[in-house]
Amino acid sequence: MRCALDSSSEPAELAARALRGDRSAEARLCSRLTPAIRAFARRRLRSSEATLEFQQEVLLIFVEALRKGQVEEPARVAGFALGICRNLALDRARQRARRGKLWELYGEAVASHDVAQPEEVTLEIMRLEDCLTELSERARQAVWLSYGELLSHAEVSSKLGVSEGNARVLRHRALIALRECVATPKVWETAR
Amino acid sequence: MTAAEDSLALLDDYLSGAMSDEHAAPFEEALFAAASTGKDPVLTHLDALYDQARWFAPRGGFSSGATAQLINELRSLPRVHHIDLGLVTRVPAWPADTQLIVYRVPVDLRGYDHIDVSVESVAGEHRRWFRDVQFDPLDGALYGVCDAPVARSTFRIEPLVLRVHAAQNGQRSVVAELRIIPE
Repeated sequence: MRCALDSSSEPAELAARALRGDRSAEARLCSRLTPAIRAFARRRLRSSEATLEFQQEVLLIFVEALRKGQVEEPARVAGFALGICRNLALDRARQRARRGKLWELYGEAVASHDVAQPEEVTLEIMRLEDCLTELSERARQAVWLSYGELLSHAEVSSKLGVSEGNARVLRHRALIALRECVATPKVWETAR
Repeated sequence: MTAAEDSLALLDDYLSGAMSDEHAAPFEEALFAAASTGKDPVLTHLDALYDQARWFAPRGGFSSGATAQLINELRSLPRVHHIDLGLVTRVPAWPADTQLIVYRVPVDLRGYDHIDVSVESVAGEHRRWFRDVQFDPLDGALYGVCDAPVARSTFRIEPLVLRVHAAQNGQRSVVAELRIIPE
């Protein structure tokens, strides 16, 4: 279950409190910034595990900086977090280059294992399940390939056999319809 | 487009890579600034969509419709309730701990395409559409699976009329009409 939007304090005020050692302010800042950190990661990484790992690393650095008093301008705390993301992405690009060379040398000896974790059904998932049935097959596909299969924009349009522009419009319309639909309580939620 | 629709489209462009790096840099500044205020419902919505989509991955993604084989496999599991629909089906309450409802619609849609199912009240009020439904290629019947609370809207709230619309040789027609009556 997701929390309702938390907008009761200004970020500068939260950052100032976090810098003074207020752990609840620190937690709220992390919670607010997490979706943006994940969006930053998702643009660059194509797996949910890699996104989670990136998010955790950014937050570790962010919390360390708060606790060590390294956020000099509380009013720019969002920019500070974005800076961590950018630096980390740069570091990782360098590491990837090095890892690429290692893969060429030793890749065959390394096996990767994915563990699928079962997840519980939530109200949001049930609403989504309900709303998806109202979309056309192509619209469902457009959303699934992007948000489920985590394919890039070019890959999605290629899979759908349409231009990138058409894939984009199809996905936007589907996302807008879905957002509107999932925001509306369903009859099965209230009926006895 | 409304402002919320605009920002949804922009965020999707950013996430999908349709937005150039040149435009992404200032977009990121605004994205983080908005996130830090806790007032970005569009970001929250799309962030959640990724997590929700993961739940559908082992269940065949976002496809609509199932096969007889899948339904038979599911029927053998605990807390799965099966409904065999007929022209008129009286649906009693299912056990309270039921998690999944699986059902079969007795039609033969082999040779048809563009299949949609409309749901109406008996008074003719539209309730919903199931768009582009897939049928089982072996027997042509429609099979479905959904979470028990969602299934309530179709099976347990009010008497409903389900119509299967499909096209054959370019002609679209209603190929089946079924009534569901909750008991």
